[in-house]
Amino acid sequence: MNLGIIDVSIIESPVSIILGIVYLVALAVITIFYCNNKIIKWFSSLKVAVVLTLLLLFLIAIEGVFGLHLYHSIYFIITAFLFITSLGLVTFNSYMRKSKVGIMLNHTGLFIVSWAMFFGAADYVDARMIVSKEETNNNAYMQNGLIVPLPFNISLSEFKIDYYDDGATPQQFISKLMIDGREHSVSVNSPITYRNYKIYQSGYDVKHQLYTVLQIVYDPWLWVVWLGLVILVTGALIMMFK
Amino acid sequence: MSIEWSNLTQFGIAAMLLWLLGALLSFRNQNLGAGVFAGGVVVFISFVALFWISMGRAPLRTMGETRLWYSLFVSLVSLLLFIRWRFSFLLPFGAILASVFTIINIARPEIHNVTLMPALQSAWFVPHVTVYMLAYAILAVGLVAALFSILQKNELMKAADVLTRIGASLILIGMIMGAVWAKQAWGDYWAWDAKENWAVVTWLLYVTYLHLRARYSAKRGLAITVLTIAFIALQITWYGVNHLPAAQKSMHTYTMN
Repeated sequence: MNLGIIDVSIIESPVSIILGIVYLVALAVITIFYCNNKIIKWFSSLKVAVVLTLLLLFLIAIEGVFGLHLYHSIYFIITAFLFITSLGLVTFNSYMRKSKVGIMLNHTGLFIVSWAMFFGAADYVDARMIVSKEETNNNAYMQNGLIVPLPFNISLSEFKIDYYDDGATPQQFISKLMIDGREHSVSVNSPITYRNYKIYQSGYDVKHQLYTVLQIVYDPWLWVVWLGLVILVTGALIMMFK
Repeated sequence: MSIEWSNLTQFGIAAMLLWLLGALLSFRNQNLGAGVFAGGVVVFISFVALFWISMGRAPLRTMGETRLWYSLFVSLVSLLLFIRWRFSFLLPFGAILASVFTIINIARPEIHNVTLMPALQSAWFVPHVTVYMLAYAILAVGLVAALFSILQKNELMKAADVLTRIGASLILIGMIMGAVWAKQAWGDYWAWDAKENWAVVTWLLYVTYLHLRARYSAKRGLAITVLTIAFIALQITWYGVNHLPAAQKSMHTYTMN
């Protein structure tokens, strides 16, 4: 079955940033100059919003049942694009019409988050790295085998497992790392940030504990998502107590 | 004093008797009924609190443990709403639903393990799950209010709107707390995990309901249909998702091993 899975890496930074900004400018221009256009009015109507929402949630539900990685398929990408555009027009419009604060915040927050997720998808890097005591390393590997050369060197000083009182159930996995000559400690649920990379405890050498497996994440759009989520939570709180 | 799962038999039966008695009394005397019902809530909260202290961690990890919170919040929320709005259906509904979950826990106690795996040791864990439990309880009450509004044309639909607005907001806040936690533990705030997908589907359905109600308040039947579908999606998110093919690789499935 052809699910239309496509490779999104063609819109990596800086193309992604340029596209994202051009898109925002386009939405603003449409809102200001073409808000009375019939097609634009129809596209930012509630009916279209509800239909696109149902279409989007239908695709996510199928993904939720079968786990087919549909979110990389052209059908999902087009649906998501239409959804975000409809949401974006409503959001921009709500500032022109001066809607209620709660409504404005909810739409704005969701729009910022989905805009960043959509245009930033190709810039997200998630790689694994095996680090041992013997050698200093700066190569991480993506799932597809691509090497990600890091701008710093890591070696392992010590790996240890803390156990619960029963002596058998692990309580925490801790890697003491030397990064560019300075010591850092990474454990599950406590990653560190080093030169725009987040470093996570991911796995270890089960047999001899000679090496540790780190997860290296580069996510330059993250702060935009956090901004959107803060706005969204504020909107949700207003909606709850109003 | 050490409280274990087996003690739920005593606490649970005492709480259920008080809930049911309070619900029946509320038809005669609202305040007396609410008072007795509140006694049941106190008994149940006592069990959860003592159980929590005995285990040395929040009882929020297995399905059985989350059912405790569902019973707690369903009974508590029904009581608070009854005090606020005096809908006569609230206490009987709360008593029955909270009792069903308590009986399931008494009849089928799952195997419980006191230790918590490293990924779950996060400050976000308790609020993430608790907010969801609260949302589930409120949305259950909201659906019942909407369904009852078909029988009696009264203010119940307004109550359903308010409850859904609160519930949908809580789902959103719970989802965002999960995202912040996921960034700390697994590297990404959103991983297209089966449970995440169903959570966002559920939220979008409730959002659809709210939009339908905001603009087309005349189309009540359509809105109630969407609300019902949303509630079914909620059940899939909560426990149904564990049985779907996509859950085989889900990070949210703790009870399967």
